[in-house]
Amino acid sequence: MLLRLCLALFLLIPTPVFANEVPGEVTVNEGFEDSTYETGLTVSTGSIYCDEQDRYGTTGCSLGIGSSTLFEFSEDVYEVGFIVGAVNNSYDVKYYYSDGTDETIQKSGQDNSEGPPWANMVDSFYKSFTDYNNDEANTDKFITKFEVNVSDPTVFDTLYWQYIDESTITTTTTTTTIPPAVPDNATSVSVNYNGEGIDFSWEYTNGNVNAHSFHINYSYDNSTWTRVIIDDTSARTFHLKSGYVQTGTFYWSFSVCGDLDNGESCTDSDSNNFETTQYVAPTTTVYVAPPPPPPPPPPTPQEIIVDVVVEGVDKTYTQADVNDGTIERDQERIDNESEFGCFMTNAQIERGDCFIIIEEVEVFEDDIIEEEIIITEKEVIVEEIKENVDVIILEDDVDVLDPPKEEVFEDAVVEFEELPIEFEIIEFDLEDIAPEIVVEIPIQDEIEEEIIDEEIEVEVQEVLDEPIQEVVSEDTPGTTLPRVEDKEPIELTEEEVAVEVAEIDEVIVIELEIASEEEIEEFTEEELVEYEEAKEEAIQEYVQDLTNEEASEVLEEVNDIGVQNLDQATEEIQEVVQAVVEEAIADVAELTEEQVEVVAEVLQVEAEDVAIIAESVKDDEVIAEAVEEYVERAVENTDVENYTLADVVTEISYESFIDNPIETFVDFNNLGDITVANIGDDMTQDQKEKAQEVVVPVILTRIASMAAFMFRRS
Amino acid sequence: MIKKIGSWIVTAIKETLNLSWTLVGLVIATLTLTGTAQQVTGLATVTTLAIWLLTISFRKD
Repeated sequence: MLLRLCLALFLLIPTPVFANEVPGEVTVNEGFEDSTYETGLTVSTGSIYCDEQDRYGTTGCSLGIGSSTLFEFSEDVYEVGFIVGAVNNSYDVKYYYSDGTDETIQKSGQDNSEGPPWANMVDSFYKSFTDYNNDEANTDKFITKFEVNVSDPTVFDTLYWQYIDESTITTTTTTTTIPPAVPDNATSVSVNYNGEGIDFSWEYTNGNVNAHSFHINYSYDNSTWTRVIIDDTSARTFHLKSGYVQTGTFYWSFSVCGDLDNGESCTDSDSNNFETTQYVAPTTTVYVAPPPPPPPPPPTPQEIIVDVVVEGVDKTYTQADVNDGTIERDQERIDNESEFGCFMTNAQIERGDCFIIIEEVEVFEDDIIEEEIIITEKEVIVEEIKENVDVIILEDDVDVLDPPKEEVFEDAVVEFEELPIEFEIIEFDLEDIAPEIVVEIPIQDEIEEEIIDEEIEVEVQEVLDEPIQEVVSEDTPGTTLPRVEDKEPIELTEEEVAVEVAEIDEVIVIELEIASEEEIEEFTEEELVEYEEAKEEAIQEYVQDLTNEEASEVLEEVNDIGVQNLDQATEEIQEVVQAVVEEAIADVAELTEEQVEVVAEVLQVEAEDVAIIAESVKDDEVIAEAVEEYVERAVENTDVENYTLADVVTEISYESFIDNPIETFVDFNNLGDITVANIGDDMTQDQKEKAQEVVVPVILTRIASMAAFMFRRS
Repeated sequence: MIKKIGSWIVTAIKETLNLSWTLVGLVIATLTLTGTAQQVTGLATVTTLAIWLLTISFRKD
């Protein structure tokens, strides 16, 4: 009875039919609330109609149409639904399908007798032609478009359509894992225990997968296993020695294994256990490897020969240092630092790299005899200097006021020769060397005590504070005193010159096609001109591409050797240096102060004169030519001492005078701009002094001769 | 007139020769100088020489 009641209830209660969920299904609703339609829908006519909202079965606004209207979809729509209301006359709806067929549904005019809001004056349409909604009648057709043919004002609303978005469908890939290949099982596996060892035997024939090894696993507790791997696949027996057999339950298994390295696996051919009745203690032979031979002794270093404390720093010298003279040079540096305050070798000191302080200078001797005749003021100045000056600092090893240079220098040499320190030479056998053995020879303090006279330093400092050089240069114009900045010519040995030239070669990296002398001799005049022009052009390009820093580096290398020593360099190097000098003068405004000083040193002028030269080059042909030919002429005058740009200017002036004497004296430019105050301002200091050296003696000679003549007549 | 001019030329040459060493010095000075100093020295040399030669008779009187 109860069963019948349950059955009746089951039949009475309607059970909803749930459609299967369609993967990737997209439902688009178009309510025609505004003139922008949903993506994928194209409507041929009609407009949004909001005057009769929620009437004729619509929701909100609707699409007002009055004639045939086509609704077209861009997707493969399989289901569509909509309502058509307020149709007084008969009409039809025509569906178009993807297979080229169509279907028309005829409708009669709707009843408008019910009055507002005419909720029933509406027809609902629904069409589905796919399997997705589980409708058995559905086919795999798609609705491409439909057409509503009306002849009176009609509202169209509540449109929806469905299609499949393939891109949202998740593809499920089923991966079937192929089990690893396994060789066939061994057969007739037998294990025999005879109270000592255990004998295994088996039979095996290769099948689809070849055996690569046989595995025998055994255990006495069924948890900790020992594996015997038999790589010889032709073996069919194995004897487990009695030494590995213990008393207890012996668990074993036999496996045939394929190529394990390539993913193949093993079979479990057979397994079992039995009791062993006798325990034979395994004889364990522990292999004790002999101790490794001691590592070969490291190559015997040629140290430690000398360990010296230099300026508080422990410095170790090797035999190589002794051989190449490093120790001697370091000793010279130590001595010279104590003597002159310069950590330099004797060679560097002699070359003039150090500012040397020399005590006592005699002032004004033979050089100013002529001036004493006519300028008595100088004597006063000289006396003032004598009174005030005890020590004069010489820059770059140059004498001021004609000092007794040689004597002073000889004293210095004597100091060098008397090495205050004797190095203790300690030689070690390798085995006896102990790292902690260090012989410290305190040097610095002793040297300072022996050499440096602190009182002299104080006096020097006091003199330094006085503007001595200003007095010499400003208060005694016209004197023939040598300049403080005058430098001794760089005296280098041939080897040193070669080294310096090589350094210049390294700095100047330029690719030039250099013709041999023979080739040049065979050149015609035109070819020679072309060759020279090509070379010059290449040099100019190279120099143009140089940065200021690179150009300065080139000039620094030139300064190391001295321009006049460039005769040891190739002609091309000389030309490059010349071009770099010209470029530096042309771009002097872009140079840093240090770079200007480098250029000044090349030209043998003062730093402030570089700007004057750069300005003069613009409107003075003689100076421009002098700059262009400076390096060439300096090289030609290697033997001339203190050959500077002023000498080149004078040479070119003379050549110009010889060529055209009148023009030299009548070539007046901007004569109106010349005032008494600025006469000579456009001359370099070097040029002024060269002129003084010439003009003053000439005038004095003339005056003296006139005086003598007058004296004789009287 | 021509005789006077010829006489003056001879005298001027003599005076110039007398100034040879001075002129050499001034020429050297001019060639050693550069720029405005050279121009001023050259102009002064030429001008002074011209005045010197033009005033021979005046100075002898």
